[in-house]
Amino acid sequence: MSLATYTQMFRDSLSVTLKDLRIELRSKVLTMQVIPLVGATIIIFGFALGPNLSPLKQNAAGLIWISILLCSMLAVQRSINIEKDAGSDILKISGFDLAGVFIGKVISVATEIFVIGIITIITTAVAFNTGLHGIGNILFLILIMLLSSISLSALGIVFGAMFIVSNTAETLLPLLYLPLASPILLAATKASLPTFSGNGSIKLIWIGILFLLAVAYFSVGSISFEPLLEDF
Amino acid sequence: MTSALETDSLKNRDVYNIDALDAVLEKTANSKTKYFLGASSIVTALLTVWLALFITPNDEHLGYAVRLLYVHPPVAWAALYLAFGTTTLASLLWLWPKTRSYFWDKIAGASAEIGVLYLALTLITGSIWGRTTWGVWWTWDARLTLTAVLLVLYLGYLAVRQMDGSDKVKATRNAIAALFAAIDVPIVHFSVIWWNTLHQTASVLTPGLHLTVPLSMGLTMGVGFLCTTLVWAWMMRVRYEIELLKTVAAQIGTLKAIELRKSEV
Repeated sequence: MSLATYTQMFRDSLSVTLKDLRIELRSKVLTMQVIPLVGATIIIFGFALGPNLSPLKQNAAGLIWISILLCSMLAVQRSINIEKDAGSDILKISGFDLAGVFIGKVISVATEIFVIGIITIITTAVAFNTGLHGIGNILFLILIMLLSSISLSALGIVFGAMFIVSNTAETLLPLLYLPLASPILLAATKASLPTFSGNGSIKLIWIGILFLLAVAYFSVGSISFEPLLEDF
Repeated sequence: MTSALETDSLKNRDVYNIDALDAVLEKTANSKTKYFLGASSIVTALLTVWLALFITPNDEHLGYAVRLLYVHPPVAWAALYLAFGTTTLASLLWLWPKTRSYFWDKIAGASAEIGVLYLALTLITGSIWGRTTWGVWWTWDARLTLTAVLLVLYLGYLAVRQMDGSDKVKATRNAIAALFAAIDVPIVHFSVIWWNTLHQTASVLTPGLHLTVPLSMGLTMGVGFLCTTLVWAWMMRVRYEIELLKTVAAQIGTLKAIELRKSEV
């Protein structure tokens, strides 16, 4: 591929990202529906495991990542619905480079998941009284959020495209998305434990696993997206 | 037998006639490979049982329960690497334009079904092993949990295969779902290294291929591995044949309907 093709691809991806984020900002689904759901999830966990704070503190990292995972699924569903409403072949006939469309959609959904994640972390740290320990750990937590957002987003975009013309998305999406997201959940929980507990420092192996997962999901996603859309 | 029909169904649907399809049916029904694989599977299964129960010794620590070793690792290997590996490879061959054929989609589906069966057996035999060695039927150990996740994932893949759509759309969708599911396989493999787990790392063969157990135990395990491989090949052959017969039946139905319509005009 020539430089001009790459430039066009990134230009297309930027257009798709901006389009999706603009739709999100206008529709206010993220602020009016997803973020309140984050709050509701944390309150439910608090009810179930409280009022004693020690089990909440002990399990804060796991609870945060379960909340992020559940809410990320809404962001993915939302991204599917945007294209569904416009017509399933709108991307194909738009003339955009499909690799650029994939990158653009991954960035927009990853941005949403990242925002959801940051809000979940801050809310939980306050509500469960865990706090966030160590500047280094906090910076690593941001990196963990970034890598996880990219993985979850790439995963969601491909399955979204897979189910865009199907009526079974509501049941099949969680069936595939949740098992595939579980290694991210495991690694991200282990990686973020020291930030919430204040004990020890983040082990780089978890960051390494998250990085590998992000690379794997993004690569397989980018290979798959084009044939998926072409065949529909 | 396989590729002729499959390639034709991709390129030219007009080549069929009832006689040609009858020939496919006859050739399939009289396949010697299927019977050879079936007989070999039964022989190796009986040999494994005989070696495991009557020839190999009890273990110093695990006693009689050590015999689970002749079943659990072979089924786990066949599920994770043989069956799901074949599904992944066949899916890639479908996605690669030069090798694209519905044959690969059918192979991927057949192998995944057998893989799911083997993986369920892996979890069941592993659970029995856990009860005798760790004292619990199930523990939330990383390898066990990720294996259970993998089972759910491939059940999801089989559900994707049932979705509606044209043949081409379905095959592409199946292949992509299989590629994503395959990402979990190395995670399960390396889970005993990455996580601090109860499940032991590979311990029968050292990295230098040195056998750490008595020869009779190693040999029995080897026969067990051969048995699960042959049973996989046998089931693959039968499962693929069922898929092929379904295609032939659909084609015959279409041809008969066309002839009926012609006779009415």
